Amino acid sequence: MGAVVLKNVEKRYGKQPACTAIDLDIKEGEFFTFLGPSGCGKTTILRLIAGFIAPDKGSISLGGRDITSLPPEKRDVGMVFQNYALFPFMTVRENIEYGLKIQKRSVHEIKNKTEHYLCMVGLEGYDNRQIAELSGGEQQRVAFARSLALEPQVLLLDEPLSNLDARLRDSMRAELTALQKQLGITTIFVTHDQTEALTMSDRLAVFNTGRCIQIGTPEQIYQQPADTFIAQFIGETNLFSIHSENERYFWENGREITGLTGKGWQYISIRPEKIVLSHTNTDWPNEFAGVILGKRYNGFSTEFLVQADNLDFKVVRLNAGKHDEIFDIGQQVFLHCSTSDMQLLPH
Amino acid sequence: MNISIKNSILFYGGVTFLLLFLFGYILFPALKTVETSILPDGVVSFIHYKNLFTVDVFRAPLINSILLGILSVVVCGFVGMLLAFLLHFFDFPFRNVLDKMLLLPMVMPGIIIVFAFVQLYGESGMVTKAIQFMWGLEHPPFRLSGLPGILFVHAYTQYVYFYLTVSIAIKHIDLSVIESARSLGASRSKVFFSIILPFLKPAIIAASAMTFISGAGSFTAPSIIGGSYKVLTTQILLSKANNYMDIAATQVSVLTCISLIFFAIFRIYETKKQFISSVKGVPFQPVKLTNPILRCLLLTGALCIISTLILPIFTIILVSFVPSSSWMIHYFPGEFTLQNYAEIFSSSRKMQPFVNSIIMAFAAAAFSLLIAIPSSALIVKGQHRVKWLIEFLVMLPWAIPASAIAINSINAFNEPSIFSFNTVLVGTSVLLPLGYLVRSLPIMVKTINVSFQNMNDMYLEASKSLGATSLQTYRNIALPILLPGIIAGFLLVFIRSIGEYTVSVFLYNASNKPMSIAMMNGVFEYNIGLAMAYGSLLILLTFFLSFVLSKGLAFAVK
Repeated sequence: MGAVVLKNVEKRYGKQPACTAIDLDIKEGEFFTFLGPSGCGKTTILRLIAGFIAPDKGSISLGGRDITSLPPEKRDVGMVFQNYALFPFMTVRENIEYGLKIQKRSVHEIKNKTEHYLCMVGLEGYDNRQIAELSGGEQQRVAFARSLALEPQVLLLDEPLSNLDARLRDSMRAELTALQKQLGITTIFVTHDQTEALTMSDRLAVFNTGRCIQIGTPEQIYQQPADTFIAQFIGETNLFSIHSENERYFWENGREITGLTGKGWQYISIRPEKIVLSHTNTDWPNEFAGVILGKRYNGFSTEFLVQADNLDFKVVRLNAGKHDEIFDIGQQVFLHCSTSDMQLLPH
Repeated sequence: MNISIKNSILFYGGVTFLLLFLFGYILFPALKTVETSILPDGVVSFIHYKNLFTVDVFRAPLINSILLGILSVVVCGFVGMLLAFLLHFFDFPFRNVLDKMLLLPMVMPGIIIVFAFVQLYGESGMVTKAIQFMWGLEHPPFRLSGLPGILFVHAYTQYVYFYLTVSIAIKHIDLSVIESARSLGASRSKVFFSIILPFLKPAIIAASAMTFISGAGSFTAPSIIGGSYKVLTTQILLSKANNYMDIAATQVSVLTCISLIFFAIFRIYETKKQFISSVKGVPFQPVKLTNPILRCLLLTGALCIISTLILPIFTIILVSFVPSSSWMIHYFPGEFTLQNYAEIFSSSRKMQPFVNSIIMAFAAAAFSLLIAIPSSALIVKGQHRVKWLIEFLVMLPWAIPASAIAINSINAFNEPSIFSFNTVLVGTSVLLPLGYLVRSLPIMVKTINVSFQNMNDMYLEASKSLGATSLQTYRNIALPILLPGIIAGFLLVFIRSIGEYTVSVFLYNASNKPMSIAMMNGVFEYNIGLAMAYGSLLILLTFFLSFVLSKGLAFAVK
């Protein structure tokens, strides 16, 4: 297994930059995710690593070996495509054997590996099925088995879960993570789905407009977003513009933010689940009196829109049980947020 | 040598060869024809153009050709669209059989259809005489000649353009769009005129343009049953036969210009094709008729159409078993024999046209593959700037009537040139298969284009990511995907070439006389049975290859 290092990588399509100044250091055995909205350049970077396109600048290395100018077939990189790209005129077995035969492995090894990986992805007995006879989930498993059979140094996954229905996607997330841990293979996963990124990754990189904005663990990215884009892209947040005077910060409405000092930050992000909603005044710092304008029931939680001191707050409360306090539209309530849950952002 | 430099040399070498071929055998001959038309005596003169537009005897065929084109559009449009609407809007017994049968004229050589129509609906035709005798008429009730006769043949052979394009467009209509219009209060007729017709408009215009080109450039029907209705294509042959090549060149140039205008319209609307909805749509479903009277009417209509479609083929085969001499004394076949077939298979002289046609059709199909595969690859997958030029050149013969392709070849290769390897090709056996090749190149490229479009680049990338080299990827992945399209293209060109008449009549010589000319000679020599035996062999071969083709396409779809 190998570590993947990208140094100052840049790729342009005509004059349009697809990705700029990309520096990544993906550790051996890591499950690393590229997360970002459509068109942010994440798939371009994946294709650069696979070797389907060449960078205009920078270098890419795998396991310490410079692979920047190597063709895809020489890179020892496996890839699972968004639409799986299974060869439609071959059976399941023929698809998995394809790469092994190209590498001229022995008949015995081809047979063993094919059966091993078919078994690993839970498709024993599917050997002679045609691709068109498989469901989306089964096709995806074949695509995984085909790539894994070559035991590449790194496995690239280009939004492989996006074509599955919600329930299957959930179960495949867990299976895929378990499989990756079992094999210990360095895996790079591309997705625009923040839930996938947060639940599956050891670390992730968030991209926007061709640039890597932040790299970190899911917790770091969620709790300490680097800017307003990430704060809003990953999960729900309350984003307020703030200003500072004499090392003290103030809300948009002019009220001071108690407990925060310094200067230079322009925004503050507070996650909705970090705001405490109460019927009674506690006199805690940064407490607001407000009124509930909206309420949305989400099953395990309820989302409220509360207006307080001319500020609109989104608040999420877990629906713990039937003894929960009842909050309804029009009620007077109190909001409180701790300074430790307030994330200062530059822009 | 560096691999990328080697690849670049190979690529640019290939592109240069391709451009040279396309220029040398498509554009250069067309330009030579223009040159011949404006340099009648080595001096620039537009006298022939002036004559063509001002002198009645020259102008009449031009007007007749345009009129024939327009009326062909009207007649074929009516027949083709009516059939498309009936078959795709209503569900009735034999609908699927009829849908397949309606494509029959596509694979039938034009000359066979014309001969079959003469045998059925001509002055002494079996249907004509049957009606005359049944009703006790003194004269035949109709004559298959002149403009109505040609239009009757065109209605049978060319409605397919409308039927096919409109059918495809109907299949792409999203049912939910119609349902949403109905839910917004639109009546059935309002939905038809405000939703369905605008949806079909690009297909209808594209089919009209193709039918016009085909109708105005038609040669077989006007030359055999046109009688006094002279059109440009028949006049071109007359000019050529009398060695007025400058007049023939002028007529060809004008006819080609008219076709090019309509071809441009076709290309514009062909690219529009249909409005594809951005989300997954619900396919349009025909309505199941519950009214027994309507069902019965449609069933009767379907059976009548199937009979009409099969009748010409049945007639050719039937007449092929009738001794030629019996037609002198009978209107209807009374005795049957295998003598006509025995004559073909026992006489090498009579077998020769059959063999010639197979060899030339095979050569044309094989060589057009060599040109079409790289052309399609560049058109569909290429990013290079010459891509549009290659597409323009390979599609150009679609806009050039067959008679024009023949005259262009004669003008270009009646003197040594770089493209004829410094020799005169006119009079040699090379020119006719070359004509077949040029004529069929667009259909070959179109067919192979579909294969390249179906070849998702992801398959190639997946193969490379699994360690395969470019060569292994092309052999193991690209070829199996492309092969059905390649086989389909090969067979289509083979089928179109083996019974080809128009290019043949201009370019054949004594040593490569094809089957279509042998059939024509047989009819002129009153050896009708022999001519029809050639026709039956042609039908047999065409049907066999069409069967192989459909199997190949079914495999491709799978």
